[in-house]
Amino acid sequence: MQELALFRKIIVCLTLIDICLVPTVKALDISPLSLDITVEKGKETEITSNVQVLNSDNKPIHVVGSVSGSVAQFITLDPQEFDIPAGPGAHSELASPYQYVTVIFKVPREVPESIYTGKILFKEMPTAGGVLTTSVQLGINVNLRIGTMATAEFPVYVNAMLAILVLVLIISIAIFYKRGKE
Amino acid sequence: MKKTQFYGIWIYALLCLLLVLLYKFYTGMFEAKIMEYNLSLWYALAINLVLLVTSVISLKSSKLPAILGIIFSPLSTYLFFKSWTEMNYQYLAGFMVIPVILLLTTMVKRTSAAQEPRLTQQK
Repeated sequence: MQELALFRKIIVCLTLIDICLVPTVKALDISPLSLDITVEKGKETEITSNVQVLNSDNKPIHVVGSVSGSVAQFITLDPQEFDIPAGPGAHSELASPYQYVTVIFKVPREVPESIYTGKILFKEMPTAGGVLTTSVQLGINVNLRIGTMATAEFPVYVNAMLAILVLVLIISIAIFYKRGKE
Repeated sequence: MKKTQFYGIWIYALLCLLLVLLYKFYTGMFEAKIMEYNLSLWYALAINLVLLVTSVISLKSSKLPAILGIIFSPLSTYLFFKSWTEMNYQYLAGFMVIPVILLLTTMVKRTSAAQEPRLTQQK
């Protein structure tokens, strides 16, 4: 019986520790968890996407964003570092404060056709004057697919000019040879 | 009118056509940069140097196409560079008007030059 009582005490202690730890570990939250972007090759492209970073902890946090992997060369985060005020706590039903981060994909025209992957990481850093006991890092999976070479879609007047140029080239060489023979 | 001037302008027009076709089908190839300027500037500059040299050489023999060539050469480079960097096709249309004007001028000159001896013979 004594062993069973001891076992119950241990279970109760472990549950209490778990409850205390959860809000600290789950301070940071992000949405969405993955980004899949497809762009055409040979076309300078700029795409922006928004990512929501939430603070569910009851303390303010400082977050630093970074990008890893082959996709990093095309991504810029705005803002890269920011503070999120204290939230209502993990067990509260009130909405957590959040910050929108703009993810800018800038793909130059000469990039070869391929799939570029990587992660956008958000790391919780110590706030000014504060001490951070546990550091949380969350990541968004990014897949950037660069497709086949794009051709420039000329408007009608440019195509017409192109046709006129070809026609004048042919006529001029014909006239030149005709006059030359005469 | 000298043959070199006609051939110079004709080759220039052909190169312009080639450049426009590259713009249409391999638009990404102008992206690479040399001395902070992309290849659209350097290709257009190289082609317009052909026009400039031809125009300067033939300045004595036929003045109008030569003067037009000298004026249009930097303008043409600017138009192509602007068109590609700003993705504005109005500049590209302007770039294509230049070889058409030059070819028409040479054609008119060539025709009038061929008619002159006939008129003197008739007199």
